[in-house]
Amino acid sequence: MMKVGTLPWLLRHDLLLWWRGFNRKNTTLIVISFGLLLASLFFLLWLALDNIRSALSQTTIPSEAVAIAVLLWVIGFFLAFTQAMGHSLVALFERGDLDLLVSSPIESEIIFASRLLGVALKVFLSSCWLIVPISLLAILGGIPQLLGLYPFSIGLSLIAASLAILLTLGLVNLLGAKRARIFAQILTTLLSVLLFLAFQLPSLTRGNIQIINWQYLQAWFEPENPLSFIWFPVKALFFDPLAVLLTLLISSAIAWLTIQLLHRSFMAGTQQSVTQKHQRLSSKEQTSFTTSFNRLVLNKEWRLIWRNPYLISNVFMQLLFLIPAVIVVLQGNTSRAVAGLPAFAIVSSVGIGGSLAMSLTRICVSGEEASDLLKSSPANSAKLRSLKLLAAFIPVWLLFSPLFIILIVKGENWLIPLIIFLAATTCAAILRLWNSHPISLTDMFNRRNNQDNVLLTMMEVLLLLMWGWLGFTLLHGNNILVLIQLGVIGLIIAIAYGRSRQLGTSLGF
Amino acid sequence: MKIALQLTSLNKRYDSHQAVNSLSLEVPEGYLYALLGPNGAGKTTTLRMVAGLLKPDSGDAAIFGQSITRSPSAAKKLLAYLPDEPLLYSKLRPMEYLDFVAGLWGIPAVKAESYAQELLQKLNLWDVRGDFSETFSRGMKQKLSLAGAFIHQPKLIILDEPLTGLDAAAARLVKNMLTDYVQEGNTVILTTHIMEIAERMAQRIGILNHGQLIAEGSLDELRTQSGELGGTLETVFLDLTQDKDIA
Repeated sequence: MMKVGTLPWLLRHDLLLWWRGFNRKNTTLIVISFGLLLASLFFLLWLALDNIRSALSQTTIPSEAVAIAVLLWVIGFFLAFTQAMGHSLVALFERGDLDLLVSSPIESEIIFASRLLGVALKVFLSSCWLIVPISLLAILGGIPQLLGLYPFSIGLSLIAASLAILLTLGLVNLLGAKRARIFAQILTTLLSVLLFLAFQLPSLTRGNIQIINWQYLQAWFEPENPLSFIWFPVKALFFDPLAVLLTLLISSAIAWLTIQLLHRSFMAGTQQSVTQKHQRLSSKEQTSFTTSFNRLVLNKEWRLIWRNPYLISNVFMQLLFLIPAVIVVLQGNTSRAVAGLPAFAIVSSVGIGGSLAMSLTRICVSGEEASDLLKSSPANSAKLRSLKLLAAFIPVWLLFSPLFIILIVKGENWLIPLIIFLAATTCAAILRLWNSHPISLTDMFNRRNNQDNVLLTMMEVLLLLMWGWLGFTLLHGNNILVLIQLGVIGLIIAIAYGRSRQLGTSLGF
Repeated sequence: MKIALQLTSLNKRYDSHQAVNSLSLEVPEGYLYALLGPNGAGKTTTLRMVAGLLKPDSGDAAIFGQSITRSPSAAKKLLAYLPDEPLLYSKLRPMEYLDFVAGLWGIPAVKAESYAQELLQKLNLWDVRGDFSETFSRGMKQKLSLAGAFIHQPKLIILDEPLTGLDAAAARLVKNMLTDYVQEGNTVILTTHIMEIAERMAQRIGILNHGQLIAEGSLDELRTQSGELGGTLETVFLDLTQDKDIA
């Protein structure tokens, strides 16, 4: 039995809550996907085994292995830090059990240590789904060097957790608890986007930019190089004993120092989140009551989005993920006759505009905070929903209007891109409405709480692709294909409508 | 005398649990009616059906003769519903919230604006009119939600645990507002676990247990029904509900 009130006891409690937080609804699907992923991973590793074995048997590490190790470290650190930021936010602000712990006789140092180590453990355990099969295969394949993945990942997790907690608490001191939370959420999303864009860079530049000179890096690894010791975290990946020792010692020291330095400000920070008086806005501000019901609903939706920086940043950062896709599609079309501004208008307005319309619909419809108020009012539900859809459309249409003005001014074909854009955004938002479930605004971008129907989500994506393809076909002037594509679009809408009727709505209004 | 609320054989079942069981009830206009019952007795389910938030399996609720199932819009125009969790928007200021609620009930802007100012002053929320409701305490949120119920001047207000989270001064203010509202000829139906509130404020009391109305009437009538002559509402309530539990 664990002694109550001790660090391991608190850690166990922390991990238990984390484990229970998983959505167990689609357990079978998750298990099957995980199994397939593992099987593919095993197969790929088995294929690569001979190469890895010969590479690691050499006295010096070849540049390919250096490249992989450095990449793994950079990616691993980014992923670990992003995850650690998310876990820190939950541990410090969202779970709401800190008051209970702080009011107990347990020392603040132990509470803080349990939070930090909890974050580190969660990051490490999340990486285990990849590390465990690789290490098993490494043992079977006679490459024990790859067991270095464990100390490598432990070191990364500890450093990432320490930095994430440090940053979160620093933000609390600088900005206050509430703003720090929003800032940290935005930062977490931004890091994911940056990582994604960095991955896409070689394909976007078609290999014209070589970001890192691997041969140069390899020279830094060689034992003769006096500065080679700074690569110890990467060397730990190959189970270099000194590097493993240094990684574990230094990462533990960073975690220990963070605990020693920050446990007091941690207490102050968490208390601030509970007790701080919020900054008052100008009480002199006059609100004139609105005479038009339509304007009233639109104003209310836009105010709620505009005043929530977390929502805005997430919506726009989602769009950043689409930029590489748009560039790739356009690059693929440079050789065709239809390339140019109309093609760009279709790809960007359908891809980005459609996604934006879906995100805003999700916020306006699923994120409705007082659905019982709407349902208990005599206001017409259908009208309310239409106005909510309009609140989602109008910003998207306004955002893309300069693109169509440019097309008109330049004398380009503007009518087809405009019709496709309006139809695609309208359809995308309507399908999103059919696939909407009530969700709190704070959970809006948390995939774990996603209750969307898989078929309807697939239909949403397919529909946007179809509208984009139809736009290109219209630019080519292939009438038969246009008719077929319109038929497919109609079929997709019919399937989605049927499925949504079958599922019913859980929206309150 | 008009009937403000009439429930006719109302039924609601959640899977195997019969939450409301053939409930029939009449609340006359101009009364403050307290609906009491132990946890899980079906009070909130009943109120949610009356407000049109839940569809009854069978039976009907009529608000001043307007059926909530057949003519919901007409029925809802006369009604305000306040759940125990305030129905607010975190990023709206009090006046913006009241503007929106008034719009939902189709109240003319000029009339609503002056009444909103009056309500915020009365509920001591005028000084925080520039703040978002997310910064409010539980009691302030409850008061703003109450202002939202009053803004469209409904003839019937139903409130689920309206005094939860209010301090003594705010609780007295709300009780006075509800009493005044009833004296103006309107009807209030509330649920509460605090027997003293029902005892002091309500002209009629209904006691629900296992989804059924087990006793109804004035306090004296309830005393007679339970055989606890001279007893407090608490003793009457416990006597009636515990007897029923044992049975």
